[in-house]
Amino acid sequence: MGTSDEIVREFLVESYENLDQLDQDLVALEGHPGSRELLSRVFRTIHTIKGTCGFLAFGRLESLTHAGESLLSELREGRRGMDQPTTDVLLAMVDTVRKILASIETSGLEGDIGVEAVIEAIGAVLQEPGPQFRPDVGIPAVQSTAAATTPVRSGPGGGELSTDDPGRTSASDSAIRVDVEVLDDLMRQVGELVLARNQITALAGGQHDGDLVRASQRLSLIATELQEAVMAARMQPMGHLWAKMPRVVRDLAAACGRQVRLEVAGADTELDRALLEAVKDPLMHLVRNAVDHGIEAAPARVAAGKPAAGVLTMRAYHAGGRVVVEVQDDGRGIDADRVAATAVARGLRTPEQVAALGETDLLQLLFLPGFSMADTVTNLSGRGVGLDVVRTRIGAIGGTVEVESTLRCGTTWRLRIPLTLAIISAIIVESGGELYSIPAVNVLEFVAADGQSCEAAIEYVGPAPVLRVRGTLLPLVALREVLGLPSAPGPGHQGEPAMASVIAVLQAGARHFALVVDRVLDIEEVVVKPIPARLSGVGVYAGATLLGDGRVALILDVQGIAARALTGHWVEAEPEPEPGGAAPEPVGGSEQVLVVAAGDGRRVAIPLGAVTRLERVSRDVEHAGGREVLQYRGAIVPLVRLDRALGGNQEPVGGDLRAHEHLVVIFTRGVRTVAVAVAEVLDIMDDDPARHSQVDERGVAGSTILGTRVTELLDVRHAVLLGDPSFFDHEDGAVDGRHTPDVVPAALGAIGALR
Amino acid sequence: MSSQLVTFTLAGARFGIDMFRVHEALRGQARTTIPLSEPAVAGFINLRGQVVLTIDLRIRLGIAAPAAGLEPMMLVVQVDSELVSLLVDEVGDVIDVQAMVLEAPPGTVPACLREVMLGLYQLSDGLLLALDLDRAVGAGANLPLHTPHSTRRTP
Repeated sequence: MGTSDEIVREFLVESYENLDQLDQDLVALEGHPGSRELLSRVFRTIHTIKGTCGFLAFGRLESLTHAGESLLSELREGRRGMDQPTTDVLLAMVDTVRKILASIETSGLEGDIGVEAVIEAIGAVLQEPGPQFRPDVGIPAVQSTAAATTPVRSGPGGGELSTDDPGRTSASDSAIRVDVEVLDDLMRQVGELVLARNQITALAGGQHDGDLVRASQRLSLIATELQEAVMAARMQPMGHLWAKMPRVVRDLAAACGRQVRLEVAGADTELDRALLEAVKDPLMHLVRNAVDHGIEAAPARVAAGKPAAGVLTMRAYHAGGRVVVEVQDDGRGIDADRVAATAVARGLRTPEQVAALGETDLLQLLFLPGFSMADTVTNLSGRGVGLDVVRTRIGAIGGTVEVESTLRCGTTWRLRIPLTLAIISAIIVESGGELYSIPAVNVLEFVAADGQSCEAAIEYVGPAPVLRVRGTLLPLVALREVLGLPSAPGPGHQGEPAMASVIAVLQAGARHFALVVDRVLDIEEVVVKPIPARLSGVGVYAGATLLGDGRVALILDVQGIAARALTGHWVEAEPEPEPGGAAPEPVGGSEQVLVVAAGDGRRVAIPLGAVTRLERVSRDVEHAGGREVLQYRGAIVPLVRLDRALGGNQEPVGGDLRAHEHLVVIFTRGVRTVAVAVAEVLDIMDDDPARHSQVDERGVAGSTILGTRVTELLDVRHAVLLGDPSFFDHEDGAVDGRHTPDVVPAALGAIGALR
Repeated sequence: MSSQLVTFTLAGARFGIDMFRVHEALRGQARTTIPLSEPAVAGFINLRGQVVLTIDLRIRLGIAAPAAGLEPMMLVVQVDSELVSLLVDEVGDVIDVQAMVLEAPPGTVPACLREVMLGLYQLSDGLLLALDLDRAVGAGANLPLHTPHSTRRTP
């Protein structure tokens, strides 16, 4: 019984492999209908399957392949030529064979998969007089060499059993099939060996015994080589995936009514088999997108001056220690403005949010959950589930997705994937007395937080620290705070890093942020150990690993930390615009303004000098005496909605203010405090009063040009008085920051430093 | 379930687990804490190259926190085909319960304890609570259970 199971399993493995080749060959045959070499190969494959399933008593499969074989033999003998219906019916046969094989694999039986329809279809094609075979001039020579070098073995079926490709004969002599489990096992063991090696290295490091040190170095070398060899054994060429593509693209193109020519490159680029499996679905999705949305229908292409057939290029190559996989089309490209409009229309972003984004950032919106550009839902795409899944899937294996697009010229999707998952290069850091490892791929740079560096400085926007590094503002979070560890001892602002700490600039997907850690210890090759599923809910750990000294260290999930620590968008501040390179010195009248978004799409500037701080408050809006109030730092503070201060909508705008979290600008004078709720904080910019112009509108003190956009200036006095009519009692003078630096509390010194 | 139980104590009460599920007993292992995890999760230990999750049974079962200075022991057990280490006060003898009757816990036993118990045995010198390991610490077990109990401390 065991022997026959074994034979069936081998039959399945071999047949699957042959079928993949068959798909390719059949599609290629359409392009070269006369190729005898291809025809012979197809014929042999089907013949082999037929022979073996006769031997194994799979009757349905046998009758199906028999019908296919009759058609193929006509083709091979030149009695008819390849045409579209012939290819279709042969592909249908291959699909049915696949289904039956799948059934055999799961249940051991052929199941009740209908073969009659396909057999009939083949019969119908056989009845029709097909196009005459036209010999292909170049081919007979190839065919004769193929015939001469193809060895023929006799198989258990009694018939001829030949290998399908002369090139593969030699490979099969030097290669054996190894069960994936064996490889996985081997990989695990090597992982353990690497750990033991790290331990020995750590021990030997403290010794002066020359022999021990030499032995440990040798062990280290061998372990590294072994690790590389085992990793190499798990590698599979991208060609495995590329092989499926001609068929996929052909079917997609036919379904969408497109003409598509597929070009692939880098078939021998290798990738860990688990990763290859993981990129398959995302890649298929991108291909579907490219054919359905990217490449235009033939008439539209011709009208645009392009060849009727679109070109879909798939490339794989190594770059920067990662494998890059590209899907490129020469279609219509992605209209960034339409992306923006769609994001707004679907309520995923507000108009002012998209207005603040550059073209590259606009394309990132494509990856938002629920985003779909398709006007109509087709069978293939446009359901709004898609690119976010692609990004999530690729992110899950430590990869990234990028998109580049030129309108009317085409789009390129680029996946960057690590070579392997099991062993990663990680940076060991200390925080709160424990060690953590950060995957090196996520680390862009380290910056000393000693205040000595002129390149980087920590600034505060209200209570929120930001890192200013070479003109870019990055949100700054302390690992201690993210993990809820006790804060580092030391004076100063809440969240202020201790003097001795180090800042890691990290990359999580498309966002960059800065993470404060206590110390950086080492960079090590670590083996990723999965952590129990019940801990995955925490969301900030990617796994655990053992360090050289035997300690367990958690591996941080940088994406998870970003998601946990960076909730708002205002922290994703744009690089400060510095026209003409050097920023003009803030002269005389120039002052800084906080640019915020009101809920109804307006951009409003608030003199920074008047602002006490910015705060996210996680409280419900309550009512006292007919006014909206907020509990803030143990006091009841009147809340003014920015929209209302601008004389607009009295109704709460959107769901934002009913939410439990509010972004508020706090104005304090003496014991009086007013909170103004804004939809979003966009930027801090320099404002030149010389550019102000008068606007005759309630709540607005004027307008100015910031960057390239017209922005209204908030009449702070009016807004504050709406919240607390007695805010300015006993004091004469406006709170308008342009004239009253005396209301600036101490914390503003820090904000002021933020240019 | 075998008839032999490995016993251990928690705050003076005696518990038993199926001996076949117990791998080993340990003392004095360095633990790596896991910030943000549930209160009953007491960190990871390195068990000869394997990363093993530790669960504080006192917190899990809603028993008062141990007196300061008590060095807990660990019982490494097999749950859902992976190893889990349990923090207990003291590991005791193996007791054969074949000749004894497994009784349902009386109604006065708090629900949080009753739902992770198979029952109890009457020994000559006290009671033995047979623990249902899968319900107590299995993957489906709801770990942050009964926080009011777990945070209450003995005066």
